[in-house]
Amino acid sequence: MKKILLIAAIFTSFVSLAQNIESKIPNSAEAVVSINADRLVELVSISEFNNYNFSKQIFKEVNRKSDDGLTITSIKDFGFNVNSKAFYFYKKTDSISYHSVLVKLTDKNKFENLIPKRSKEKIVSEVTMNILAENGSILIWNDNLLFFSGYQKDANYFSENEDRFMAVTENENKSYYSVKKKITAKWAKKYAFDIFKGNGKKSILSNKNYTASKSKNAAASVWVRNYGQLINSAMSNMAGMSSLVGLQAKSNLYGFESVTANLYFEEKAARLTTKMEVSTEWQKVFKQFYKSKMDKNFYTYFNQNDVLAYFSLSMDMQAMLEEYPALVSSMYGAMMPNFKEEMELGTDFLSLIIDEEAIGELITGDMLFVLNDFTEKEMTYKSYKYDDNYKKKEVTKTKKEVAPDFTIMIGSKKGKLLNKAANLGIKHKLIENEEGYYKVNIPQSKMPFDLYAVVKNNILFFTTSKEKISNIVNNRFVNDLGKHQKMIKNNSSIFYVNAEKMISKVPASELSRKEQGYVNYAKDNLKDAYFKASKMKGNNIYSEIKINTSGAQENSLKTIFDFLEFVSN
Amino acid sequence: MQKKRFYLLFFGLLILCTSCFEIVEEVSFNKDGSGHITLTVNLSKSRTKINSIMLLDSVNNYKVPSKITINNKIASIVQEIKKTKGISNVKNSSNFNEYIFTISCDFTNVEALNTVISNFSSKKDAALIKQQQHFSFNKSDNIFARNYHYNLSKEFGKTKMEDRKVFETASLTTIYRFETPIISSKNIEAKISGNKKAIMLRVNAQDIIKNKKSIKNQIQLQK
Repeated sequence: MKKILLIAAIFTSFVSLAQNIESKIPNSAEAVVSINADRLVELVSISEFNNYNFSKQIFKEVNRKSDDGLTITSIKDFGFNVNSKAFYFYKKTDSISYHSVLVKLTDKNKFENLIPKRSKEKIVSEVTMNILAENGSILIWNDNLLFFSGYQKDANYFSENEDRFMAVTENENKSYYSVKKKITAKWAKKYAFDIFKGNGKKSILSNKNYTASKSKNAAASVWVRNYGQLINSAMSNMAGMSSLVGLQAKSNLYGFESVTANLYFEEKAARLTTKMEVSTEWQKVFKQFYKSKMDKNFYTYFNQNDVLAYFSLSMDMQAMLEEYPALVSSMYGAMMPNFKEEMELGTDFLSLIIDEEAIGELITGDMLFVLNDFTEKEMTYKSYKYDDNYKKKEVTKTKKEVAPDFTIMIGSKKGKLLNKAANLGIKHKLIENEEGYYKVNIPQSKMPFDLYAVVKNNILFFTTSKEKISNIVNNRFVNDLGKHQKMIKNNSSIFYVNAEKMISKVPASELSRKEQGYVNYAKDNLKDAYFKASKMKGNNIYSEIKINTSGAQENSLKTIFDFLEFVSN
Repeated sequence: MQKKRFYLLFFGLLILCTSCFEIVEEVSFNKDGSGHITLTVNLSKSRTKINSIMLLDSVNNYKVPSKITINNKIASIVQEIKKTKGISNVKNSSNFNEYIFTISCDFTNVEALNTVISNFSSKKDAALIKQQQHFSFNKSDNIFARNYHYNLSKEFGKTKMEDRKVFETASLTTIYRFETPIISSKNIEAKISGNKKAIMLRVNAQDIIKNKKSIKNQIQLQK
């Protein structure tokens, strides 16, 4: 009985070890990307994937480049377990940064076939694993797991420690170049062994922030421990950058700490969601900045039937002007301590001369840009006429040109001031006064449309449509908000495109045959798409990019693959 | 970022309009073989697109030149032409509202025009221009000939697909005026004027590129 239990325990631990390669990722990883192949295979089967022409081209290319006469015809022939998850993670120590990949294997031999001949000679086989260490990379694998790590030494660390390393007896009479190479290779090997064997290091799975970021249905997920620091460390890796300006890599200039993203392929939509955790010093600013909701008056002038695309932005300009300078001063002051006093004086002076409230009233921070349509407009151009004796004369001709119709709304409580400015424009003949609104005099040679403006209901309007401006002025504008009111109201920013409608407006005559093909494909398969960024929720800002498909294919991943297929043909 | 997105949307859409331009080459000849040439490049029909392109840094991976760069380039071309022996009275105009550019000069003989073209060509092309003169005037036979050695179809084949669209609606017009009447011309597309003293040839860039039509011509004048 004991024996059976022991076997069962070993078996279970073996299985769980094999299954949960994620636990091998160290808790000190700065960023993790997981590719959930198991989910992808559910959406597009292996045989379907193999049958795409672009897959066949990839296989052909791999076969052609191999020196062992490979005959790969399926994604399975790479030897990877395509029903499992694969992980990429980034880790940085004070001396080396590692880009690592963990993948499960189903067929070790198939994988080994992919290794070029000259590298194969360098493979070292140990009892339970094979190791291939080359310059700047290390590969370890056994029957069911593959670990790869590409590494790069930190130039600053090695220049600071040169004397210490060269003082070691065994390094005598050696070049520092070879010493550095030897040390990094040794450390990288230890790092790789620790991960592969799971040598008691704390796993990323013990990090609650990481585990909470996981989403079961996602096809791929990204987790970044501290976005600001990741960018800073990338910047400081750029030779000499930090020492030049005296930047302190620890400061979080970007305002974000952990960032998580999940990619989903649903039946009728592809979605990328992100959650960005705002760092403590920025939280107050962001909250103030995004506390306002779009002025309700804006909704009076939005009709979803008259929209090809729109962009909305809602923020509190006054709050931004009040909070931002002090924050910038403290952030940059911390980064560049030598200039702290100069920064403070500069930002204090700025706060002194600008009247935050007045500017906040002039530009409240609400903005809505609506692309209404594309219409044919008549425009003039210069050409030539020739008489009977071919004497040339310049003449003005007309042609039809497709131009955008759009409306821009900018929140402003300073109508009187804007009207004064408009009157000045009239005086200088830049603007004409029409029936209750203004016409901006743009030379036709510059823009193929007219532009009208008016200030009403605390909104400064610009539009290319005379009918629209007249409707706005005379309270005849018919609004229809549909789902958009909620979207605009609940988010700080929306960028929406009605792809179906927009594509139907693209004049076929303006496109090449190939482009027409893309357009027709998009017309059959796309509905609409948007990007939205939320206001502050707790200490986070959420964003989402969503592409709604027509549902002509079984799911959105198939739609994307079919498009790739279409493009590659 | 948000501002950038806004601009991308706005100007990206404007660029959907097609390109269109015409080039006019006018030469007035005196009896002694001297004359006056004017070259006009008129992009007025595409000015909406050009106005939008001028706001961008690059398009189709080409850097968009600024107004200053264009003016400097034209000035250096003018300087180069001025240096050519037999060329005088060099003038140019640039209209950035309509995008019409002209350059004109007097010449003492057609060889001077060939030298100007050679000066802007590679060594290999310059040698070919010597052999196959782009402009020639045979005084004894009173024959004027317009020629070129470029294999445009081959050159066009080297361009990227997305750039070829630019030539779809472009046209090229040549007008040659003489003091003596024209008797005949070899290019069947060319039309002789009412007073017989001018000849005009208008071809689409597409037809030239595909070697369907040409601006090559031989004009026989009355002796």
